[in-house]
Amino acid sequence: MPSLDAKVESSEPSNGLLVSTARVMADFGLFSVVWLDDALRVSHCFGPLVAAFAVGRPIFESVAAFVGFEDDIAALKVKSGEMLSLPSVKMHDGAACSARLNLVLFWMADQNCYVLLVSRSAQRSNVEQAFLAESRLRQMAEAEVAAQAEVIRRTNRELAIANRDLQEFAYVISHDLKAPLRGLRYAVTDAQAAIAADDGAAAGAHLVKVVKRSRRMSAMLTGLLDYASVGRKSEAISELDTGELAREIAETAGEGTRFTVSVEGQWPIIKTLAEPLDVVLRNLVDNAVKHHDRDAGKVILRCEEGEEAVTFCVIDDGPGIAEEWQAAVFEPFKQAAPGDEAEGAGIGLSLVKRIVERCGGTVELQSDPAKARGTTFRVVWPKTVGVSE
Amino acid sequence: MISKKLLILGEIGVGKTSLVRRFVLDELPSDYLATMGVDLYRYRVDGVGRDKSQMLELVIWDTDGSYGTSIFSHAYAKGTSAALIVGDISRPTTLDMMVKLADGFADAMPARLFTFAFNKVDLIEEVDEDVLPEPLRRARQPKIWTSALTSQNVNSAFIETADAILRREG
Repeated sequence: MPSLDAKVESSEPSNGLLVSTARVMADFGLFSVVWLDDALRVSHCFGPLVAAFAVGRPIFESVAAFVGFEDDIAALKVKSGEMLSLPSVKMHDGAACSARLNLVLFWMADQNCYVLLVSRSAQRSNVEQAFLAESRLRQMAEAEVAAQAEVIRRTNRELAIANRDLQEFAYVISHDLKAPLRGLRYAVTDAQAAIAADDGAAAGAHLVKVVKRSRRMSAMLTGLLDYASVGRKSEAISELDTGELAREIAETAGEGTRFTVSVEGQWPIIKTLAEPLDVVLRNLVDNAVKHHDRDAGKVILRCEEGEEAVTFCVIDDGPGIAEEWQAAVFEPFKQAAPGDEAEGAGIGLSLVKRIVERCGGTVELQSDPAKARGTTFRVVWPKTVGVSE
Repeated sequence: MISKKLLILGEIGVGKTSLVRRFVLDELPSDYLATMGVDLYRYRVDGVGRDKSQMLELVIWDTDGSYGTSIFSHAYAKGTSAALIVGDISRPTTLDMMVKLADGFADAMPARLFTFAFNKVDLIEEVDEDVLPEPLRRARQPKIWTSALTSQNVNSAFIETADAILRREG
């Protein structure tokens, strides 16, 4: 830092300028005052920092802090009364002053020049600095502890979910997979008996059952894996045109069948977990076609946009679902037509429920076959969606 | 010579000052002393830009981490050509702050380039992008794994940024 007995002026200012500047410096406790011409060259400099400013040279050479501010500085000329203020700047570029400075630059229209006021930034004692540094380190440590605590809480929640899933799986495997396995064993035993009795036709029929049941078990296991993977994949939120998705589902679901799948209502573009929503709607439409009791029918995809959620409805004209079955259809492997005749893995609706709930939504069905045909599945999908734990 | 402003951003204590001082002065601060306000450094980089024949003076603004994203409403952020957004790879909260700073910078300074520097890489066994938050993994901006302690990639972080500034702004 320059000594206080350094030269106090750098050029030959008028007495008026010298006096007025000295007064301003004294009144405001300024470190230095620098006058710049219209082209931002240093014309006069007062105060202990005189050695830091090269008279006749652009201010950017002496004060690196102004690099990048060229447009803002030029704008000061047309913005009367505005100033560019850069507080608490310390320059480590070999400048003549190593103190922390406040820099204020403004345009003085009547003098047709810029004035740069330089004051010392409030100096903190070593004790204050050490205290501030200590406080910040403590804040950082506390933030780290809080973050770690959150990780532990999240891990515990995930562990609880994993335990619940494990119990659910144990139940499903011990009960629901046992029945087709038993059926498979019976079919093999019957085939063996038919072979022993030299009844080739009966053996063939039993082996057809073996193939059918093993295929069904394979489909069940695939479905179970899909069900288990909900919430474990890293899913990305992206912009989704729900109308486009619905039209694409409608087109593919009706292909090769005598079913018509139509799209109604206003379908918005939302930022959401696109893949899970696709799986949900596709499963509901496939389900409506697959479990219809006739060769031909109608499925309607309808949408209503609300303030906080979008409601998707999948309406079919199938046989309906009796009240006693309405809760069970959302459980894995629960179908109204179990056994060899049931189509699919029996996981579709439970998969839908699991995905929707993981995304913070709800799914319900309305059906009263005693009064009318048809079922309506209603999915309320939140607009602000995130996979819940 | 062309001078361009480079802003160093990041949570408190991620090693912003250490990176800058390692690059400019090839030294490491002996004690942690939080930056109050802003510290300015000048550094001339040679052999950058098209044909590697240009030189550029970087005016490096080492900022006070406690500003957080409010720095973008401060005069400090004006006129910057690029930013180096620094995080401490051993502290996940600082990586989350990198995401916020990157979003804030992109909003406040559209079309300006920025680079991510994952610092203190000497504290981890191996570099693994999987530890980064999803937005950082997906980010297209350059990512550099640095250590001010061992000097690893410190020069690259600044020189590649200087090179990119010249290529973009000339």
